[in-house]
Amino acid sequence: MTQTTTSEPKVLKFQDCFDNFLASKKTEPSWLKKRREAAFAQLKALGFPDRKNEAWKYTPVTKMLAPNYVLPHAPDSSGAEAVLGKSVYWDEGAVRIVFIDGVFCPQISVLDNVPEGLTVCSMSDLLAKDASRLEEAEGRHVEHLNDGFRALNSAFSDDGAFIEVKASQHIDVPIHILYLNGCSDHDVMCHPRNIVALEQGAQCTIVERYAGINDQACYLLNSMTEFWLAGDSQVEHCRIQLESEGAFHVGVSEVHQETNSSFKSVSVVSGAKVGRTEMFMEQGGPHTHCEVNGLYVVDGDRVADQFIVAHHTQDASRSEQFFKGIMSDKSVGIFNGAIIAEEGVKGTDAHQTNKNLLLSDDATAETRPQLEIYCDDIACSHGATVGQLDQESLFYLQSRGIPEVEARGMLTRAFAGDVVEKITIPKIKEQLETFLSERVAKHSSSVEIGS
Amino acid sequence: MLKIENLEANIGGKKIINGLNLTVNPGEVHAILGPNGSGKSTLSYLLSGREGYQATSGSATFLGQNLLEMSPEERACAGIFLAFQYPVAIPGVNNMYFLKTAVNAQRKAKGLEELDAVDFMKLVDEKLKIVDLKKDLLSRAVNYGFSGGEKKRNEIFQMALLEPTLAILDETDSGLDIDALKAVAAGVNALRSAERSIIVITHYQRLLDYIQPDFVHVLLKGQIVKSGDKSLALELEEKGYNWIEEETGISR
Repeated sequence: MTQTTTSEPKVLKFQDCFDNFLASKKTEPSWLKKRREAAFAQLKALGFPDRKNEAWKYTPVTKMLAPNYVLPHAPDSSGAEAVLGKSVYWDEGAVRIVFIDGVFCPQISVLDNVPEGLTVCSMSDLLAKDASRLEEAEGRHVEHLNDGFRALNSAFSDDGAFIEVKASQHIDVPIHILYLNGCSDHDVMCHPRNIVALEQGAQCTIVERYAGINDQACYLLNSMTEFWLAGDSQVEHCRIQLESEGAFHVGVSEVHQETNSSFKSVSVVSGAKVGRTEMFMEQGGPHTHCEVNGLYVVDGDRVADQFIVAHHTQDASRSEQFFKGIMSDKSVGIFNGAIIAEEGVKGTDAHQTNKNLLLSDDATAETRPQLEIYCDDIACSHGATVGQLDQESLFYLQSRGIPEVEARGMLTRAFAGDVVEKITIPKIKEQLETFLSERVAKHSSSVEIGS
Repeated sequence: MLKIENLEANIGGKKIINGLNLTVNPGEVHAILGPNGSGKSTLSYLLSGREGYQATSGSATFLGQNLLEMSPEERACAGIFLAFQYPVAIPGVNNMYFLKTAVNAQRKAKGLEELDAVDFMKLVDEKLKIVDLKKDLLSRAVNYGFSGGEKKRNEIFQMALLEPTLAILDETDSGLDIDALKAVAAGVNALRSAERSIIVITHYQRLLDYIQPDFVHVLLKGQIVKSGDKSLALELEEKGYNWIEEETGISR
């Protein structure tokens, strides 16, 4: 690739920050420094995506990059400890690795209960103890830096969760990766990189949660999480994005599956001013199963953007995408879902559903199914709907004496129900049901009641 | 209890209810019969407050209140119940949860304490003795996957729970086989009382064999053109509507 430097101001304003950052990382191994420099060069070459880029057509990138972000200084865990007291972040008995503004916080992590066969540590610890393992792990994704945010992540990333499950180990206790953000007074940016690697036949459950502590805080959280599933392994994944409503979030998940492995995920998005969730599914062997479900619930003038790609390159792979959006006020919900099946691939089974509920006249749903099928032996379906609450159902509930606001809430929760239903961790499901009830009640009551 | 005077209503620019008068006193059962398009369902929606069904003139008062100015939920809490011709299925809303929410919404509106889960279950068990409804239908989504008969039984079960002052049964017999019809009618009859009035809207006389009305009205072109006792229903069954059209000069 020809590396041309850009004079794009959006990129250039990161230059000083990057130079200072590199200078502060003098003790890092040279391969890591090289990697950072390569990534930053890539950022300069690519620039940040804009609306001319089909994949970012509806995402207000300029708005996301308007603040002058700084890297976090020493983390302030005082605010975070108060937040941890709230049960909503708590799952008794779980393994928990916590990051505050992107920096590992051992004080409030719970790692003394990590069972045999499981490794959970921070990337910063891994770098100190076993740099070659980190080199090997992160090295696998350099070629994927195909947009500005990923390049930015690779240039600046210096912490995150590293999770490894040994062959045939079935880890029963859920593993929580918790990012508590917006603790700083400054407009901070953080670029976590998480790696979840399962050896042959291993199983685990991951809860990845991004939460804003102060609802007014402005920051950029730009994360990448890589899932590496060896043959016959299984991951249950739940990703929750509840960033501050003044914050910006880009969260990429890359799922790589070997033969006969299974990945099941539920993504719940209800935070951030602009939040983008990307998921990429690809295979390294046949007979894989990948199921991604998602729910996005936004209000105000916020944007929730989902970008999902199931890339079928191996025989007999199954993928399912099931996403629902609930938008109120002037918010925008975006679903970009691609199914790509390569030439000569046999027995692909790929399905996609996107349903949207608009709770106000000014809310927007953009739904873009993209099918690129280059083979014959495939079962594929997709469907998208955009609608409002069913008036007949609403009248039915009201005719039994249920007030309109409550009836709207019941129907909205029912709409979200079949996504939340798929969360397999009871505690998380319960927490999200409560959270969504409150959210939905807020939306329902803000709706202008017709005469 | 219910007094409708010179009620008129347009739906989609067309006059569907055209000067309708009807008075219902406590404890009375009124049957309204009429051919297709005579305004039967429109009348039931006007009385229960469905959006898009607005009176253009006339009045409807219920227990002294101006019914036409009330929201559907206010009418329900005031004691009006509509058993739907086609009860809507609501996937994702649990039937039991829905029933409890409805009962408690009405209790709250009346200034009564809301029932907790235990007391509500007691109420459910008590009312299940009146209406023959399979208990497992309570744990499913509202009307979701219910057969036609199960939906109608669920309607009457709601009526039993909510104990309305005025129940409007909109073609409750449609789509029912004879056994389901008998079961639904038995539920309705068990709920008859000196304080509770019922308006039975129907196409056919058949339902009236099981729910015996005090009065029978014939609805034609949005007005009640003839009233009588239950023998009128039998006469209609035998002779159809043509003779009424001839007698009144009002045709469909």
